[in-house]
Amino acid sequence: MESSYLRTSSLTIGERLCAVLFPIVAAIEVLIYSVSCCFNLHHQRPPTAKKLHYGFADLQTLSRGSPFSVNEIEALHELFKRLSSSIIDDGLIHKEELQLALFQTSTSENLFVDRVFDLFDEKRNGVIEFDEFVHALGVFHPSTPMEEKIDFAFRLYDLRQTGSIDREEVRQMVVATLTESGLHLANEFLEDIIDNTFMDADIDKDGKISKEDWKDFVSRHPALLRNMTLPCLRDITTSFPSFIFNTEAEE
Amino acid sequence: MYKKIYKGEFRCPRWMSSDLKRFLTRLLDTNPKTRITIDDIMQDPWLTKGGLQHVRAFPRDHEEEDISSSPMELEPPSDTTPALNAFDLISFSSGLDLSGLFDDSYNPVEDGELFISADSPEKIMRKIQDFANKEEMRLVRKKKEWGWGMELQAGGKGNLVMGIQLNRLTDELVVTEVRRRGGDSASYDDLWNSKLRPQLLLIDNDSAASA
Repeated sequence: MESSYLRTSSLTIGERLCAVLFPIVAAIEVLIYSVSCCFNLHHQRPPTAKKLHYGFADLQTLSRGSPFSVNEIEALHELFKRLSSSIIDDGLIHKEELQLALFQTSTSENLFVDRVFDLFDEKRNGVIEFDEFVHALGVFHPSTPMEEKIDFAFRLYDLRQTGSIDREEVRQMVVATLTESGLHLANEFLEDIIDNTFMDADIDKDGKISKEDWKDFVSRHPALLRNMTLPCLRDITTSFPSFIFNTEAEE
Repeated sequence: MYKKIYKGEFRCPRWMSSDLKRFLTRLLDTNPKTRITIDDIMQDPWLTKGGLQHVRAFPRDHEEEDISSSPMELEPPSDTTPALNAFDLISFSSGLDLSGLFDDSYNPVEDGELFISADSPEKIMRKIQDFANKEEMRLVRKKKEWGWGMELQAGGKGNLVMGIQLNRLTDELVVTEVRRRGGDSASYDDLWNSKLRPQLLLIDNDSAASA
């Protein structure tokens, strides 16, 4: 009994004051916060709220707006679940998780992975949700029309999203590609390559590749879109057969 | 349908012969331990009855041409073919290769490489041809829009397939892309990093790459 008496009296006046004030301050904070909500006239869902649970009807809706069947959407969902739980298990794909999936390491910085991530993240909330995942992957399906792939590639390469691809952006991308393989080209070679490219691609000769320039350019060189098609998307149900355990599809 | 496959529920229409029915039953066996193996498939009576002699491991692409032993005459794909443009180079980037999402073992950085040399395409191809003969691999030419495409195929080494794409970059430089297209990572690594790569880089003119 003596020791407990000693313990309580060892608190200074300041500490005792804090101990009393903290809960009061916290209560006032809560009051202010709840009152301020009254001033928020539009009761919208906060923009960062993410859809985390997908019922069968949701999967059907996703399937209708994509080149994938419901079974394929279910298989993609299996893949998504795996990717989105690799580092942070929250049902969302973060940039590091995408890097990990593509490069088997989450720490390498890559210009192109950044662009891919940004294009997948349509809502611009810093994470890839399942519907964004399906929507973006749909572009890579072999049966998707060329126009969508051409458009996606253009937006991918338009690094600063200015509406056109300029020399500096092309140079940045070429250097990034070569660096991946530990290669380095002298400036004069780089300039030669970019000159040749712009001579071919920049039809209106304004030093930039506009959307129209790009469309024309790609129609003359279709192989440029080689990585805009993933044939393995056709076999997605074979690659992720575990979806059948959870499927609610009739057939 | 997937549920039925998983459970092994299927019925054969009446017009199917008993050999075929037996073959299908062995294929659709839900127990992986008793299921038919590739070797057994090759020997199944239903397949061999018609006189099927040899099933090719690789589907023959009509655009393929086996050049393992042919003399090295390399006409350029077309005289009007210009050199690679910047976007071709960019499309070789590993960061833009999304196949890694679907294949756990595929690492675009380890399973593919780009290198630049100042040597002629003919010299590089001759080296590859020599290598193919020494390692007893099949070298086929693949028709490509630009440049020279090839594939090194090795049935014995776990169905390893190495895709090689040669393109002219500028008047002086040639860029080569090598990528694992089939087989496992370990055999690719062994073949490429320990055996082929050192040979190709020997003829690489370093002064061009680091100039």
